[in-house]
Amino acid sequence: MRAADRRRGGNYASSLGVAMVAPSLAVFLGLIAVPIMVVGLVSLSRWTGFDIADISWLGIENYRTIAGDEIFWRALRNTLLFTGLTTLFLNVIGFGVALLIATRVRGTGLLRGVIFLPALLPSVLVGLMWQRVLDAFGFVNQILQWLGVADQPIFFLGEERFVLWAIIGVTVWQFAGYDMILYYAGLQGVDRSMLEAAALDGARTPATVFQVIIPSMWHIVGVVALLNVIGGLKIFDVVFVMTRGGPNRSSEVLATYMFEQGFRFSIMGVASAIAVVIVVLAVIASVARFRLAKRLV
Amino acid sequence: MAEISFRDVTKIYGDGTEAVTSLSLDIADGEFVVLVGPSGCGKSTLLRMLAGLEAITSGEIIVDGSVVNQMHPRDRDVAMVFQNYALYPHMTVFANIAFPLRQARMNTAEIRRRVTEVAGTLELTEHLKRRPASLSGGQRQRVAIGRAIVRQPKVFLLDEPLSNLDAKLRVQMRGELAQLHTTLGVTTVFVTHDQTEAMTLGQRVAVLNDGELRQVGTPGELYHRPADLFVAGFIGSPSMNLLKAELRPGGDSGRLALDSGPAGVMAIPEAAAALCAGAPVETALVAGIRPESLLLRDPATASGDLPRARVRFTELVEPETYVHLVGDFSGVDPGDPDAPPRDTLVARVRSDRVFASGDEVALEIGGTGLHLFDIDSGRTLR
Amino acid sequence: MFDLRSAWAKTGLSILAVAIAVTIVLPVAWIGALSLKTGREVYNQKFLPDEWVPGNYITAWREFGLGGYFVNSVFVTVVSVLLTIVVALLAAHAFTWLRFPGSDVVFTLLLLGIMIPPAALVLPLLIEARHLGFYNDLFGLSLVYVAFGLPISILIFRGFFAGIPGELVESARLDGAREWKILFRVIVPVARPAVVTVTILLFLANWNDFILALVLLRDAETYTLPVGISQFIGQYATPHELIAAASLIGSVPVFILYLVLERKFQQGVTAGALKGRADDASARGRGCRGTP
Repeated sequence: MRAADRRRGGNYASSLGVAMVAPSLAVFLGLIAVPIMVVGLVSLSRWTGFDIADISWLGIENYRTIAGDEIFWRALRNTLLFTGLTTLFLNVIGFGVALLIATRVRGTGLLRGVIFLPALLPSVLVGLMWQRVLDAFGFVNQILQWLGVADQPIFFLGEERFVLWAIIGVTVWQFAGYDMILYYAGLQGVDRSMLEAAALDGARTPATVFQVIIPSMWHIVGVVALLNVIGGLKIFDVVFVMTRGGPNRSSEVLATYMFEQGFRFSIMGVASAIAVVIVVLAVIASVARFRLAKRLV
Repeated sequence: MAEISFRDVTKIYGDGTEAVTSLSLDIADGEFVVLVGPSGCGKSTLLRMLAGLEAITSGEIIVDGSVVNQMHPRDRDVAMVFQNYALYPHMTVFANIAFPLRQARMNTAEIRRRVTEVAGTLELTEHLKRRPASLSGGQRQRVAIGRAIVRQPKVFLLDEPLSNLDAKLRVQMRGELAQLHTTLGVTTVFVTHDQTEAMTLGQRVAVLNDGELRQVGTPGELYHRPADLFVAGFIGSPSMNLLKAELRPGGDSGRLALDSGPAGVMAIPEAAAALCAGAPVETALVAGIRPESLLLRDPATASGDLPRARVRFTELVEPETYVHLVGDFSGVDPGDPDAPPRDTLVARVRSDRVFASGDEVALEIGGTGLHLFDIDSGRTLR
Repeated sequence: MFDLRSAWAKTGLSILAVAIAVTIVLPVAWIGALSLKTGREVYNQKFLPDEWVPGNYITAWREFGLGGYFVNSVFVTVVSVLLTIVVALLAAHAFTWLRFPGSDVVFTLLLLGIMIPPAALVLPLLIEARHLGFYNDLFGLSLVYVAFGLPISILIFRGFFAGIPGELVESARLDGAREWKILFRVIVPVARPAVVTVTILLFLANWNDFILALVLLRDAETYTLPVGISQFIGQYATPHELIAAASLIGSVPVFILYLVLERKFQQGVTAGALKGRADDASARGRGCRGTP
């Protein structure tokens, strides 16, 4: 408290401090806090989204609607499946590549630069490129045919049993480097003397990894995994660009379904109810993340 | 140039700690005053309130006749040197020193003239283009001082400016600061926890403890006439010996009996008699004896009344020796949180006298270094 | 980090590293090759084109009107990043050195914004944009980006500022500097690493954003690159080689910046993810340079 007092400076400071925070607060209230309240209110109303006068109170009816809506459940299931699987693959690959790069053998410099780049690209363009790469004449089919695995082109984005996996694959391709860079940063924080001690104790490299490094990085694993979860829950761009949720809703996720209900069918109440579900899921994951991150020092 | 008055200044922090309690102090125009005390005594808080960096809970601070309580720091015309120097790391030495002048929108030619002049005074001329990171501790210190004096402030504040320097440099800077003050004649307030620094630098020294002003005076006054036990114990190195004792009549000027049984009575020297005149007889009190006034006699030839002590160890500080003694007497803690426990006595003798651990000596008082304090209030008995 | 003695292990790991790198690159390389093919060759089984047509890029640029999208994207990104940084710096300065009663509450409130996914707020934002008149408006879109960028920016700045000695600010106050001057002349130069980090984070988020721009922009004249290019999906008339060329054109700015600032990008993204902590530690080292 004493330190806080010192920072407060003299008694002249308060009003200026308020003035300096005011722009942030105004933008935050206007463009985040108010929209959250609006989305909550609209989710309890019937509205087409055009004339504000048409809005009418509905109570929890929209939530009842989505609870009984098979497509909503499918979108939720797909979102959770997508989130869970991408999180799993991203962490395993990201951590593995980080370890590989930490060995600093030849070639890892190249790998480090290359694998991180897709994470920086606009997801829309990544989706666009992969739409070509995965189509009937695309690179993946060329390889499969060249290898003799398939003699007919596989419609990765056109068949229900493949499409979610294809989207998961593209997402893992795009963000593996992101997890890698976080784990690599985490590895830098592992106490060198602990590794030296392990080496002196006669531990071989795999033993060092599993018995020393991973246990000392659990918190980072938690934070990175939760970041992947948060990213997964709001998945939109790649699905919207590559499949629009099809075929036959087999790649529908919450955000694309919300978008369709709101902007194609103008059922604002239902769309808002789905948005509220997304917010709630994201907040739960974020709270878990901050809880964990607090213990990261 | 300015006079400064603190009137009943109190500072209470948000968590309820009282850092400064109803403190009053007047500083004359052009004076060099040192605020000294153990860590947490409120001296830095007092300085920061004067600078306007911290709000005043109650009371008034008056500079040049006007109350500055509500004034913004930038309007107080006060310059400050911080313990960590607070140099702007991204600016050159020149830009650092010029910063306050730029804020005052002085014209470039005048800025250049003033900075060059100050750099000359502080021997920084050849470093003007360097950045703080590439300077030594002493050079950074000079830059901080340069930035403070360049705008010729009314008041010059220094908050433990020497504590990050090594011992040798500290002594050198001490001399230079004193000289600078003589040259500039600016009212200067200097904060330190080091009493040696305070005594060598201050025209007057204010001793603080627990947020209260214990005594203010010239270094000589503090040393020879401490107002209370705390000041007595804090000022002087090695510290004054503080012992439980009582006065007894007898001899020419009375006698001092240590709290140590029948043997342990010392005659009070004539020179110190006046200091003890007002003290009650045969009442428990605290006696303070400066190390140089504690005389060591050969126990074989000394009077049997004199208290005996044993040498624990000696420190050679040419041309003197500090002799640390243990014996059957009870030491008193003056209330300085930074000080080590007082379980030994220290005598300061010429270094040609040789003592070995375990030697027995008889103790006698000589000179004027004897002070008596009330055992409850700690006030000096006069 | 590891002490690998065996040459076999080293060689094996090197091969693995290169193999992964190739797997990452090949799909993009294939798109690159596709973008240089003639329309007839698009469906053949060869990797490289028989006839190289670099002119596809010019055609794509012209036919899709990429120039306009490009300008819009640059405008929105520059405006939103600059605004966010200035506004966030002001707030972080106040939260660190000009605290007021309740400032901690406001700080926490702003941080809650980090949790909210922009996709979930597109409906109410559209409603608000229509009623307040910033629908179909690039500056309005920039403001929305500012709102979503502020929380993380303030958090990172605040974390960095906490490592800067307060005496630097106090000293500048005594030297007669106004508060905004202290912020921009003293603090920002010291906090440059944090500013770079935040700039990169915001640049990526705002340059790459799709859903907000998709919802809040109506006319093709206002589209940003991702929205503009996405309009040609599903139009079977759009030749594949041109979509490939357009996608690569859209990726170029990020690609070039990444080549120039590779380490900074990696640091920036790390700091954003581990919420300013990665930079917190180095703030103490770098921020206090010259003032031990």
